[in-house]
Amino acid sequence: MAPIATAAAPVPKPDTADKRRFHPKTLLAKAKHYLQHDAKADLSAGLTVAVLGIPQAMAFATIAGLPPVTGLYTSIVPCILAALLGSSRHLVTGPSNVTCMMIYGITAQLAAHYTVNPLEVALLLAFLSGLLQILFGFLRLGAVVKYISNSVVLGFTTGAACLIAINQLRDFLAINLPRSADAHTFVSLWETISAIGHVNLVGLLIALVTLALVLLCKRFWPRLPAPLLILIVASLAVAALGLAGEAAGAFRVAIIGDGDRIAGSLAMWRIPALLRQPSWGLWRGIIVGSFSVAILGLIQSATIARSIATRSGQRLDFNREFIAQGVANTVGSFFQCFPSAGSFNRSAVCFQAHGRTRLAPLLSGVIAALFLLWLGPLTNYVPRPAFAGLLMATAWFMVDRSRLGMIWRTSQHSRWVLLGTLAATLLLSLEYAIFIGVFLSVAGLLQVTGKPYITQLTQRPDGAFEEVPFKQAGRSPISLINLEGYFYFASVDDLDYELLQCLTPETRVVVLRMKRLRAFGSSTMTMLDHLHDLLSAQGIHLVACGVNKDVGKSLTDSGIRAKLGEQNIFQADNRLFLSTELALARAQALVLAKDGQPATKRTPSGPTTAAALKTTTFLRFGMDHQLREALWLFNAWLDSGRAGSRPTVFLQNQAGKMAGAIGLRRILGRLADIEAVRKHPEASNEQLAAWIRSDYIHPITAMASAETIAVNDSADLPAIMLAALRNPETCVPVLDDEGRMSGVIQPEVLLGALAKAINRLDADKPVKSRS
Amino acid sequence: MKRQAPSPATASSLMQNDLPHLPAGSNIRTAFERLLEQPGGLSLLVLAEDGQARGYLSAEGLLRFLFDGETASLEQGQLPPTILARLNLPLDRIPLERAVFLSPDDNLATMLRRFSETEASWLAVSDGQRLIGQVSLQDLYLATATLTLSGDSNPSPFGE
Repeated sequence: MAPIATAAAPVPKPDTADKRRFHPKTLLAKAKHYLQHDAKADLSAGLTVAVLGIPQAMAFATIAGLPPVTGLYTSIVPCILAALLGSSRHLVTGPSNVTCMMIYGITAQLAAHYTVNPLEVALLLAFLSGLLQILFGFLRLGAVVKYISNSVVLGFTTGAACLIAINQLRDFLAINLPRSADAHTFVSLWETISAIGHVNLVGLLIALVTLALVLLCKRFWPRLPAPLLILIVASLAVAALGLAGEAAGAFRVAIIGDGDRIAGSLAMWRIPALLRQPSWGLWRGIIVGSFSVAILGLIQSATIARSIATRSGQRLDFNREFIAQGVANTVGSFFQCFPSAGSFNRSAVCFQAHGRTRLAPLLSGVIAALFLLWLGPLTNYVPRPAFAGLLMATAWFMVDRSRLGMIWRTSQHSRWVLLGTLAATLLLSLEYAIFIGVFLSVAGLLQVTGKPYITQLTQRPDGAFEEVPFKQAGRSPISLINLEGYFYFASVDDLDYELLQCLTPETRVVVLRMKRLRAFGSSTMTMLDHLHDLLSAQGIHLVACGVNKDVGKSLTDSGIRAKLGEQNIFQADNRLFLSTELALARAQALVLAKDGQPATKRTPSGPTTAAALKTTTFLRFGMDHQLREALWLFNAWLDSGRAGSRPTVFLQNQAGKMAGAIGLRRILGRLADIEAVRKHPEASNEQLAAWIRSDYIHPITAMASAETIAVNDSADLPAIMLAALRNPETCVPVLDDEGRMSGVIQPEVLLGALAKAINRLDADKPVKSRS
Repeated sequence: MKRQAPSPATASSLMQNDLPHLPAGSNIRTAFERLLEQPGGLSLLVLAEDGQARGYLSAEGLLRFLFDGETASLEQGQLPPTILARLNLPLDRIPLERAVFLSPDDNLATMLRRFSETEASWLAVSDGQRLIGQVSLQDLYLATATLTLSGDSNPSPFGE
């Protein structure tokens, strides 16, 4: 048998651990392990991602209104940097359709207004949005993305898809007319419709075939790098048929190389012109857009990374991811890269292609660079209509119809947010659309949470609680109100007066169950204070239960604890409804102390039956409680002064039937019987209290007398007397036909009834009684 | 619920100076009438002529005596006719609950232990031979429970 170690292994100091981590030997061993186990999988995944990503990169650059080659640049530098610095093993960073749509919305307008190259505006946008992302990362705002709802993201994405489709319609129809400077989508749409007579049918055919093939391949051969293959085939076909040449006349098909030609070079480095010669007016105009691009990029990247991490089981550091995305954008702007973000398609492919480490996305960037170097010039021959067909397919895939349907069916609030964001995306400036969506989400949320959930609770005969709509609990001396939800300033406005509506002429005590109170603050405390005053003016007590630590602190700090009185505040317990039950007992004690004649003075005037002798005010308790609760309950019961001469609490089982009784003598007997108390009569009071506390968990069923004899309503005096003689505390419970307690006959009442009966037997010599 | 525990919670601090009592020479009818006047305790101290405590008469004790051996009548739905005669008997025919005595300085632990020695609803407090008051079970309970609950370190369910 191996010896058992008795001392803990020494924990290496951090600096020692770091030294070991970066020791050449350790690094060599890691590299060897990587080459043996992970390199092949990463290379395969990187290649797959690059093949898918290269046409996408060029297409997305077209969406942004920028030269296609910049899409390739953006799929190289930011991809490598984000993979190096980020935490996700599968997130592939680069051009993204939604971001590109936003870039187009920002750059086209500013470029036209300040007469600068749109690419320069895009580079400045990348530089600034990257800095903001780095700042967000250092400020640890990684958790903020969760405040942007599904409906906002989906509304925005759907709107962006529509805009992509509208913007690509001109190339799709192969209309070879120059565009106007007005970048507005609907102006562009109108121009396209106006030029419908200039449709190049050959170009349109290429676009339609491309679209159909991409859709079919996605459906039937999803693992095929269809976009790349289709673009290659389309380029070869156009070249072979001479459709790109001037000889084609009206049927000439525009190609990528018609604009800025793509050279097979990696000469990307240059300082953005707007950084060298800043135009402050343009800087001011771009700042809101930078925020939008930064936030949108982060949302997109974080959402994609989280979505894949839920399947891969990887834990992510979103703040580190933010910084990585920021560095990718800022540094990328010096390599002619427009703002990038995580790409869902490419990241999902990276995961599905079994990429194992962050080198998989990094390798995809390296492969894209090699492609640009060796095969880049060939991309000049890609026909624009084929590209437009590819982008139309992209727009179609962007619309997540199943999630749209789900959101549409789920809630009205989500529906409005979705519609609002979609409308803002289509009709307003894109950079504001996401903020409008967030505003709508928050406004809707405030409207929902601004209505607190108020119900009333009633106790069934079996002791369980039943929730009934507010103001429908019926007439009772105790009104038990259940407060749930958010109780911030907007929700508590006029709530005090609303709560008063549950009062009936019988109400003597209002019990507020506050266990599910959220977002309460000073307004809530002010409301409670005022409610207390309003109730006090009517002679009604206020009792609070389910009070958790935070609510308790607020009650103390606001002075309401002192106002309500400690005895009227009940801490929340992990056992459901325990504090409610205790609060109800307290409320019953208050009602007894307040109402009419004390039970002990009750004088039967009718026939001597149990129904006439019983009092219906008595205490009953569930059977799952322990000494601690019983101790408190008797304390409150005696404190009320209404407990009678033989204070007794009756237990009831799940069916609501009486299952025993505990008299004062029993519980006091239990305290005296605690072993330490019994053995140390000289103990101090503090020791005594400590010993009793150590016995808190003693079950009350162990103290109860299960053999309590009960009677029914029709029992006459002799029958009641028989029961009383057999019961240890003389109290006689009265049961209904189903065995549930309907009242109790107190010994003093019984004695009075006996005196009357005796006086009827012998009127000459009556037993005198004050009552 | 947090309360200030009565300090120092000795027999003298808990006792009531009022001593509802009954002369040992009374008859049972008188005892019955006096008990009806004592709803708070349903128990009376019975004192001998020399002022010495003979014990406690409780409602339970009285009823058991009145119906002793007569349960058959009760089961037939009738009060036993003997009850009238028994009312006229002297009090010493009823077994009393033994009086247990505390000294004024007795603490809660002692009071609890003494409580367990008796069936009575009161614990008599004497200063030497002189009876000076009595502690009710309710007061004893309240003092013990309040002391325990007021020092409760567990936040649930009685406060932070």
